[in-house]
Amino acid sequence: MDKIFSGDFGKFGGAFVPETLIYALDELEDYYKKIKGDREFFKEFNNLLTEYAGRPTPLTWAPNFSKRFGVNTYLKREDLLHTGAHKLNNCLGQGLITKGLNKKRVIAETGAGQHGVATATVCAFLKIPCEIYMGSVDYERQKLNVFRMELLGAKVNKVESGSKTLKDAMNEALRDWVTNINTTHYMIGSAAGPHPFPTIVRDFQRIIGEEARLQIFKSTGALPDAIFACVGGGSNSIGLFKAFVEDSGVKIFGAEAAGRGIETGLHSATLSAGRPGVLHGSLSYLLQNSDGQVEEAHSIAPGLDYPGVGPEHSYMKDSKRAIYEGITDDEAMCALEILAKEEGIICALESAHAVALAIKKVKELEKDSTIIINLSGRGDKDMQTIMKSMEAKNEQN
Amino acid sequence: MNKIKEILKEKKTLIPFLPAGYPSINATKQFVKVLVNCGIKVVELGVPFSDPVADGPTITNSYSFAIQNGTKSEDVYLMADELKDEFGIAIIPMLYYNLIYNKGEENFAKRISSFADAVIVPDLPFKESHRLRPHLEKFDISYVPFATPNIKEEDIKKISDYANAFIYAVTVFGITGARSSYSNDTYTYLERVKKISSKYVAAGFGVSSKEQFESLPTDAVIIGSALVKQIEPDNIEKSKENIEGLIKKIIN
Repeated sequence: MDKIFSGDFGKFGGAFVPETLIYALDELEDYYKKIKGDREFFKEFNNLLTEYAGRPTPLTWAPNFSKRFGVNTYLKREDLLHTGAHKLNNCLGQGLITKGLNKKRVIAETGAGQHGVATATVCAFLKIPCEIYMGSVDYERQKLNVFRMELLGAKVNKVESGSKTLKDAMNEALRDWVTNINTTHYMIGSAAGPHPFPTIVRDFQRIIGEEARLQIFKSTGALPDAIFACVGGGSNSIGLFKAFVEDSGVKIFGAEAAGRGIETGLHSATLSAGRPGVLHGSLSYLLQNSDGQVEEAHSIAPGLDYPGVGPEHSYMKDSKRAIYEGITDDEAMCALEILAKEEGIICALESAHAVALAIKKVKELEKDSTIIINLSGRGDKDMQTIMKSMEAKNEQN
Repeated sequence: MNKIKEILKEKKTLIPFLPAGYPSINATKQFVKVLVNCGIKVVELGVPFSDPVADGPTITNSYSFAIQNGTKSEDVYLMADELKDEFGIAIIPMLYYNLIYNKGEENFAKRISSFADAVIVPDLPFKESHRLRPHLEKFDISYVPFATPNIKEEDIKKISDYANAFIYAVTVFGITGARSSYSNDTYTYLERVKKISSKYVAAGFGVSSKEQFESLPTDAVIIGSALVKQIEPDNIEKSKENIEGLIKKIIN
């Protein structure tokens, strides 16, 4: 058996879930193994990616940003994908799996609302009823996405427990799944959760990196020197990274949310400041206290506001193939503004973390290096948060 | 012979579950004393965890309360040591895997060996249990495998081989929380587990009444959420009366 497909990324991964779920996870793994080599499935999947989602997304040359920072910068434009973020890639794949498994209902968790919107979109299109779990804090700060989900026909369930964000939404989705295991597919949105989800989600997101690799060759005739992506649970980043893992000359950087600063304790920098533990089905780095209680995460970017991380990122950190660093709320806001003013692109607050890390790392790169930054999503959903943050800044000044 | 097995051999056994530290460690100790006075011989003690995905709102909220009150795992273990010394009952800690991983499997097994007769880990399915089983064996603590309504016959046989004390049969698809009744499917499935396995079987999830306790075709029945609901955090004496009332109603 393919070693990675065992679900163990080094010591990370596994399936730490109630026994009831194991049968559904086994069924999912068996089905996924079957379709992995199935041309018909991928013909349909690729067709949807092209005709429905709008792939391939462009790799955009950023002339002004490049000039300002002295590196050749290319932007992978997942923000231009239908629904406005990379999440749709995975949802289309899992939507077809849901049909194949003959499940009649879909549930999903969402933080920023992007995965919720992508799930609602695919479920509308494939005619599958769906319910989305969303923490009440996220519900308030991403109202526009709540409206989009409802417009698409999804039922959005507000979660009031714990920190009322992504972590708690995932708890509730898992509880729903245990209860409705025979009828329901849990469409996990991140490359996290119990095996085989981290593998399946990564495989459906690999298209980001595979396209980017071809596109950069076409544009520059060479591989990039470094690639950047933001890491919450880690699906857009693993999707980009995977295609470059074997290219030892390509430096890989993941931007975590350092929130108000790692030293304040108000952050989501799981890989930088956590230690291995078990949450939501897998062993991976985790923000936890000395007793093993999971700590609440903080980030201005709801999609990064998560105390865990996908197990493959933990593996890439420990094997030193990728470098993960924290970016504060302020640094992300600053990068978002720079990109908007230099290139006319307003990216999502999550993606702004990747942009900020690239700006920080420029001085470590050789002059005239080429880099790719993954713009995982667009910023429309964040306008209210950005306005509030700028108002608060102005009042301080 | 394993202490739990001795107890289950005697007669159909009610195993009450209490979330340790709800509303305080001291209160939990008093509640256990009430249980012992009612004739209870095996107690399941929940070690509070921040993200209990197998639990419904009753137990989840009790855990949040206990954690906010500053309850640490070690506080629970110290209390369990005292309960063991004072009452000599069988104690089964129930906790999520991160609390075990955080301490290290071997250290954990060593630490709880002073009081634990068995351990229940709701998010450690059989296929991951190899991480913990050898350490439990070393300290003579029973591993408790789960049966679920979707279990296959060959899996009942497989987990039976690893069940030292008993199999925990989850009565329904779902999370913990009182249910007024079960469907016929629950009875059919439990009878199937009993028939195929030669080991003792304890049914849990949803138990709240004498009728359920008596009708479930298993050697033991675990009562959790319904008991936790008897606890009024700001009135310990009333909570004790409530607990006594419910337990006596079920077993007498």
